[in-house]
Amino acid sequence: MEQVSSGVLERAPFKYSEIANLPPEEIGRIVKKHVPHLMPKAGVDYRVYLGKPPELREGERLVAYTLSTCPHCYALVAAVLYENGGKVYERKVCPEHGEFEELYFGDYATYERFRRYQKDGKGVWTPNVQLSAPCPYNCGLCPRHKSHTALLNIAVTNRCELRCWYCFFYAVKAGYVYEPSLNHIRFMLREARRMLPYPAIAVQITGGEPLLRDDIVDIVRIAREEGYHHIQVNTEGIRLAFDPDIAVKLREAGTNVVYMSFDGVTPYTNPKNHWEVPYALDNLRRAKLGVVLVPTVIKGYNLHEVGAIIRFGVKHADIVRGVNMQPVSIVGRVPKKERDKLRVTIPDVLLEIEKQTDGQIRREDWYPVPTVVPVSRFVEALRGKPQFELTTHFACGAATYLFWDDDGELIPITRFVDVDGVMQLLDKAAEEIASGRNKYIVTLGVLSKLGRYVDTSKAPKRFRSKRRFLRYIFNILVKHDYSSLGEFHYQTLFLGMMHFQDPYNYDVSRVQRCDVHYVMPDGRIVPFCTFNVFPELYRDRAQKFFSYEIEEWEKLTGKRLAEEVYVRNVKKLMEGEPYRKAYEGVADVFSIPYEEHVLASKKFGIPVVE
Amino acid sequence: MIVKAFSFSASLSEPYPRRVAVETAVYAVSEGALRRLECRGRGFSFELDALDFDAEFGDVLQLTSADVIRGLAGGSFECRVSECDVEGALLKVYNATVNGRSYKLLAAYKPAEGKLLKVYADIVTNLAPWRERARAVSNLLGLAPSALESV
Ligand code: SF4
Ligand code: SF4
Repeated sequence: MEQVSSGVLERAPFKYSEIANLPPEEIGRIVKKHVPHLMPKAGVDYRVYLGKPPELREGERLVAYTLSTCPHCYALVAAVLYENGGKVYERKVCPEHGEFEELYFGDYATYERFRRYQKDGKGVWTPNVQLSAPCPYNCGLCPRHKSHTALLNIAVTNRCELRCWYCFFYAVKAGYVYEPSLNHIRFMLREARRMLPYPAIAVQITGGEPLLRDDIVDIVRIAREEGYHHIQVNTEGIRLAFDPDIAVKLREAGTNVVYMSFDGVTPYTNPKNHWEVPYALDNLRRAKLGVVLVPTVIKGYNLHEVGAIIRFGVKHADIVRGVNMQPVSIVGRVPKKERDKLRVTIPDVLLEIEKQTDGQIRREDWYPVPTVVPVSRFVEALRGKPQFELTTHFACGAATYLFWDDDGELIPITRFVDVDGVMQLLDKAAEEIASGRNKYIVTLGVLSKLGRYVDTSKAPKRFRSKRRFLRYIFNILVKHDYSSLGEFHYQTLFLGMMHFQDPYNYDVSRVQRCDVHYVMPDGRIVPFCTFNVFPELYRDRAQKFFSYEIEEWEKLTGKRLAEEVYVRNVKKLMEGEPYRKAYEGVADVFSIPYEEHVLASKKFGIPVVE
Repeated sequence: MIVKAFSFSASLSEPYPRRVAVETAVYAVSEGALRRLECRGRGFSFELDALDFDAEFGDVLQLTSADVIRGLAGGSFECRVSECDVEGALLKVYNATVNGRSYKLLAAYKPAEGKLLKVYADIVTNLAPWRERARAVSNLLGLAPSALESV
């Protein structure tokens, strides 16, 4: 894949080391001065072609119009969403680069079902930038953004010990080291805590590979100190596999959960960390630190293993809290024929899960993210102040909760909870409180009716006690805190899905509602799907500006970047007990010849000890 | 300085059904009182006006030009743009109907560094009682307590 390259990347007019150790407020004052310079520039970084959207062709039915971007030059262009053959497609024309057509959502019926749950939020009352450019060139957050931060991402390094063939991001390839100092990180975290109507409370520490930082535990501690209730660390899991102490230290410092890449159950589908995951799970188990498995799902690559990935999660449910699948986001310039080989969307993955679990997890068991907004509205009505609200676009993500019986039968929550009924009940209750009814009376009414929406005779045996199950629900609804959710988590597996956008299927209507954000080193808060989709305008531009030259970083740290390469000992890893046990009953990994294991690792870009 | 104001009605089908109608009145603030401005009217153009539309309604109504474009499949949008000559502070009053509910919403602007900055905006999804909002705006714009009674 060739990377799109339009923006000019430059470094700040000072060395990063000159500001790195200043107090957080001082760093903030300095970096914010550079925001106007770093913002995308009209005519240089993007153009706007708001002509008529493309015409429909025979057999196509209009679904919606929207704004999108040219995958080659990032120009803003009008686009049409249409249905054809039961699927939804996006088409757009860039006057310079021609027509682009892409699968947007693999099932129109699911699109229509999900659309019913769309709800908008209260926006962001404390924008970090003024409104001065069209979306998505005005991040952010700008005054028109619709959702507060639900999950803040903070990249703490661009170093990585892997050399995945598709990655352009890691320090050696990028040619600079981006590694904000602890004081700089504190400033960034504070920026997102200032947000109104709801300050960020959940943060994901990411990279590069964040565990390469010697001070990763201090970063977690700082996030706690700055008021983050939920802290997750995103990792490829290599360090976790070899260093049992790191998991303990992370948990003690306040990490709630680890997000670990996990693309499949065989070496072919998961050459990134297939051999290390069993050891990482063991160390997390010992540390009592939960993990969410994060597979990137690609057609023709690992789509056929989505059912097995879920079964792997269930098998390790003592420590695996969830599986969060991400249908592939196609970055760089990829010809249509190649894209069609890789492209999957949320409904495609849901259908595969249905097939691969013999109908135990059906498409209808999944709900789009904004389904749960009535829970927030109800709690808001009770408490009288704005609450955490998941108001993303319905096409961005979906989720369900999975339970299981001792005989291994998978039982999604929707089999014994009428989710629509509960949400309507809460919506109505919130309305009643807002129109002046006594909130205690309304709440009592909700509690007395809640049981009607739960049929525990269809629940797993452990949950046949209606009282126990209703207690969970009550804790979540009324207490609305993470500990009650945590208790729920230990008994179930959270199944989530988020389809990050790319320049081919881009939809401005989605990104304006985005609630997964990055805080940038200059203090701007930027949706995930502008940060990573237009790296030259946001991610790379800001990170390079506040980066170290490689030589300077090596001099300061005494480390050699080129030497930070993971070399895998496949043989030794395969011989260990944790490896043998981890895949038992899910995949027959020992029937694959050793040479093929080695080849899979090498083909991916990870060298092997011979 | 020229300031734009939008009056429109929209029936939008995507991503969820919304019917919105807004009449905007623009008032100049002088010596503690409000004076309604007469403005020149013209049609709406996405090329010329989308950004100002976003600035106006992205917060107040949680409605952007991207929402309007999205919803136009099977929907409608009619908009009049008013261009008003102003000097100094400004109040915009939006008489809005959203899905059958009526609202009176306020946005206040003050001059700073050669521009007019929005210093206050009601947000339709999070409205305090009228009296509180009117008090906040009066304080910000230095209006007499009765100034907002007639808007
Ligand atoms: S994505 Fe959000 S913050 Fe960025 S320009 Fe669009 S509305 Fe503004
Ligand atoms: S990160 Fe992308 S896919 Fe997720 S909510 Fe934001 S815009 Fe949607």
